[in-house]
Amino acid sequence: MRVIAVVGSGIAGDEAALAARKTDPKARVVMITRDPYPLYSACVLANYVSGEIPRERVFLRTPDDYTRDGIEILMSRQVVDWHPDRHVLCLDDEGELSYDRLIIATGSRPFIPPLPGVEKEGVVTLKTLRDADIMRDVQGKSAVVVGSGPIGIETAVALHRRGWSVSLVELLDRILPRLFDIPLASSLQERLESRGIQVFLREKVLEILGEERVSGVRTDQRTIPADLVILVIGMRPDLELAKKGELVLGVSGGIQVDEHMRTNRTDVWACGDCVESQDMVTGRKGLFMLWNNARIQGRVAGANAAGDTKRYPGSLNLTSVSFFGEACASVGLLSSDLSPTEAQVIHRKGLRREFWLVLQDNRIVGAQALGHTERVGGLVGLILRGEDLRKTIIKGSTRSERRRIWPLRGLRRDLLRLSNFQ
Amino acid sequence: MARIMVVDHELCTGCRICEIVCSVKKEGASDPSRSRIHIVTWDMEGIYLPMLCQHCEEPLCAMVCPVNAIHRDKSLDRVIVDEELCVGCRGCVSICPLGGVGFDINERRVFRCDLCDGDPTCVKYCEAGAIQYIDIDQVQVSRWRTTARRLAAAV
Repeated sequence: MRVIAVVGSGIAGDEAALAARKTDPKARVVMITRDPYPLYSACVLANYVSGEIPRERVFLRTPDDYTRDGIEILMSRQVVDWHPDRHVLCLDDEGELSYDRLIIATGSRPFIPPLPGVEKEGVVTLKTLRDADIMRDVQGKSAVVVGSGPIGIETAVALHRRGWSVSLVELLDRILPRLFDIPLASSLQERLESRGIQVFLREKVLEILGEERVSGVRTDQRTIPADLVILVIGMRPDLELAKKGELVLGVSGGIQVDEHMRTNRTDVWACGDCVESQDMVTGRKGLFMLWNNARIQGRVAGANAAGDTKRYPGSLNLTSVSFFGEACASVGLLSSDLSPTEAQVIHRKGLRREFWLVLQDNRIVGAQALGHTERVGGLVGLILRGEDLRKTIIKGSTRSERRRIWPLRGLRRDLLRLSNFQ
Repeated sequence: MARIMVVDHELCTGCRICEIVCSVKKEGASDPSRSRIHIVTWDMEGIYLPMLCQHCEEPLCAMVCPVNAIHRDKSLDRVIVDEELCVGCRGCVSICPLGGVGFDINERRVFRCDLCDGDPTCVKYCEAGAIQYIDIDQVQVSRWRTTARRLAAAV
């Protein structure tokens, strides 16, 4: 009987185990995780911190689900060593697991900068359920969130909802710097500020103040008192196991895999936040740590480890963030990713909604929306095809053509004007 | 027999009655912004495109759902949202390539076509016959008919 081992029980590992089980119903599928609980959704931890959802709704599985699906799960267990040549994993209870096929889904960890004072009590991050539990238990009134990516924003809003006074510190020139260009980021910032969240841009955190417990944060501009400091600067792939097996890494620092999610070692696949993948839209290689990418990578890796030959089509990096009842979404390149001479922009601003389209050589390369985000998904296809919009807009008047470009409705005049300038 | 919604864009006249009957049936009010079906219009060209959830076989919305709230209901072969699980993040709204998912800001929940549990109201009211709810086997026949009609028009 073939043994398929999965290390990691996040969404990638979970999908991989299920796919392996489905592809090879006779195999023994063993999942090893350091987590003491079954699969939960890291994406909704902020909703739990804010109190919008109870703790039990964070979980996506119960331990019984694994039994029902025929997956052996070893919880609270770490892999301490790996002998790829012998196909053996050594566990922290001194047990060994011999596998035929191995899937690595170790995920990512928050990057904690080497600041003076990061070890103080009250300095936390938000990645695991344990982090969220800690944040729920902390007593206090004021928090500083360092980093304004989606997790930073959602954490700031969650604590604000619980009645804390919250400050957000960002090193770059705008909030959500990887998702939005400055005009839209500024609109979002106004929305945060109007609710009472202070935002400090272009500020570098130098030190975390306090004795044993944190009492504040010192930046290069000011000192902000705080009972809680949340460091959410970014995630880094968890490569502890990959390094033990000397897996080849990509340029971005994630595990290098081929289109079948196979690593450089035979009988070893990898999926999820720990791997490098290719952006479907921009073609760039990088770390695209999104739920949907991890899920699909897991399915591909799991099925292939069990003998299938599925292909991963690339990562779809459409990021959607919602707070204060508003949703915003972004896909593709920002205009600030391009040189000012290359980038063309269409900006539509309404009372509650905003839409921003980035073009290069009359081709759409990125889209950002605040408020109504329905159009963004429709634009992915247009970005992928990379067609010249002058032709599409001027000539494309058949119904089927219009159907394809439905997200551009109401933008015809802007597009024509833009291409006339060319 | 599994049935699916088939839209013939050529036949849509843009009357938007479907939007009204849908919102009345589902929300108890004539409010096209809360309708499960939307007519995308290109007024200058006189082109009207009915858009609604296509109940995809491998739905992207289910891939992005962070709480696994979206799944397939085999009885009607449709994609449904478990409202008990949904946290209202709107990832599904943003990712759908066809704008098939809407969000009700007041109720704070997503909505989409649920095929009216097997008896779609919009189909009954579509005078032009642009929306049909037909057996899967009939879809191919219907496509042949459409092609034949287009050919006839061209000749």
